[in-house]
Amino acid sequence: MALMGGLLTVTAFFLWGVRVAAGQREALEALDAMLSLLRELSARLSHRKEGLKGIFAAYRHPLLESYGFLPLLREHDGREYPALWEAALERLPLPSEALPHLQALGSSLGRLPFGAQTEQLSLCITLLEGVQKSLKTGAFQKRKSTVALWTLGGLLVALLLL
Amino acid sequence: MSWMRYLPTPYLQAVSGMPVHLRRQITEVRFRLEKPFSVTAEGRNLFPDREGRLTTLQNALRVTRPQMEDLLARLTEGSLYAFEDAMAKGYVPLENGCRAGIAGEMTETSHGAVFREITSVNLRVSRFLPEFARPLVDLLREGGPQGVLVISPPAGGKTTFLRSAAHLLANGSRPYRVGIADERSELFIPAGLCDRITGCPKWKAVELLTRTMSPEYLICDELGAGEEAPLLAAQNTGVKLIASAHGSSPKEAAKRPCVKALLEGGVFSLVTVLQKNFRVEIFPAKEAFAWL
Repeated sequence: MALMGGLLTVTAFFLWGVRVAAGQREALEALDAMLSLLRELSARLSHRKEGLKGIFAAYRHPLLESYGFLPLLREHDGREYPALWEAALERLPLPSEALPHLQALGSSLGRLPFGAQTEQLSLCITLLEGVQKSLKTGAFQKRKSTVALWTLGGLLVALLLL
Repeated sequence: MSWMRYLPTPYLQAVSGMPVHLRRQITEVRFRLEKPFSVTAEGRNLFPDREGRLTTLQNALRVTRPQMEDLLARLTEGSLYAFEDAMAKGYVPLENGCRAGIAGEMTETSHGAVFREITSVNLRVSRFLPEFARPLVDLLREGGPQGVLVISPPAGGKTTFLRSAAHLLANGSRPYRVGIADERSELFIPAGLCDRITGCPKWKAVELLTRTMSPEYLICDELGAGEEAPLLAAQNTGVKLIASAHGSSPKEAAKRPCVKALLEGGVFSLVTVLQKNFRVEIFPAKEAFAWL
């Protein structure tokens, strides 16, 4: 019985570790998705000075759709985008390092003249690429370590309980 | 009324609460930063309160800074940069031929003069009166294509008349190909054989339309300085021009060098003068400008 209990504890910790590692992967995927969106925004702004409403209506990304990020931005009813952007960001599992850059961009989204808006977009893209690079370095190893650590933790708890 | 969606909530309530007969006659809605909010209807400046009851200038609603910001966000659909070029010219083009004129503090930059702060917005409500230009269009259908100069004082209905003329010419049993050089996005036509270029200088739009769309009629609003050359060139290709100019009489309109040059070039065969209450007077150009 005790052995069974110990085994269950280790399994529970292992599964929790897998979940945490999956969260890390999701955060990276969300960051990739945001970078794709910002690059699209930058390109369409620079080439055609297209309005945000049209860009968000036309842009498609499975991850941004499934988390409700793009659907929320499409609910724009004539009010300003900063509030919508802030609320939409909360729906994404973004890494904490990326969030301040995206919030800073959103705070003046659509409120700036063309030159300033495109500059701010470029700056945000550069900063997020830096975050992406640092997170991707050894990301797979990190996820493996996370699972291993949680499993080890479970083993220790099981031993203590036994 | 699609233009009402641009109004921030307190002003939407104020306008919605106005008596229906007045609301239908609204031609302008004016916002002035920290100054009275007013609407123009039946040729009068009116001051509706929050419930839409008409009040005095002293008791009128005052436009706050956040409300002005909200209004601008609505007008630009949350994308200020997308309207930057038009705003530098003093307006924001809106849907269905509506337009918001803007005023405020301007500053010179390397890209030209831009608004540092917008303190006044005049939302001009476009009207679509399909039959307004019927007398002129009937005449054109009977007598064959001719160039027409439309004259009226500012806010006298020139744009509404041109919109109606474009609609009637481009539709019906014998529709014409109509090219519209619409610099300020005001000549919106819902259907018909219309090809429209918006957002670029009239002379450029006229050149492009003549070269690429081979219109039978070319329509443009408010003739201005330096636009005569492409219009004369278009005339040489057989395209008939229907254009408008400010002026309370043919004599006043002809003071403009562009109008004078086009008259001398024989571009216009007819002159339409718009009077109060949608009254339309049509004269042969030779008669109206006999003194020229």
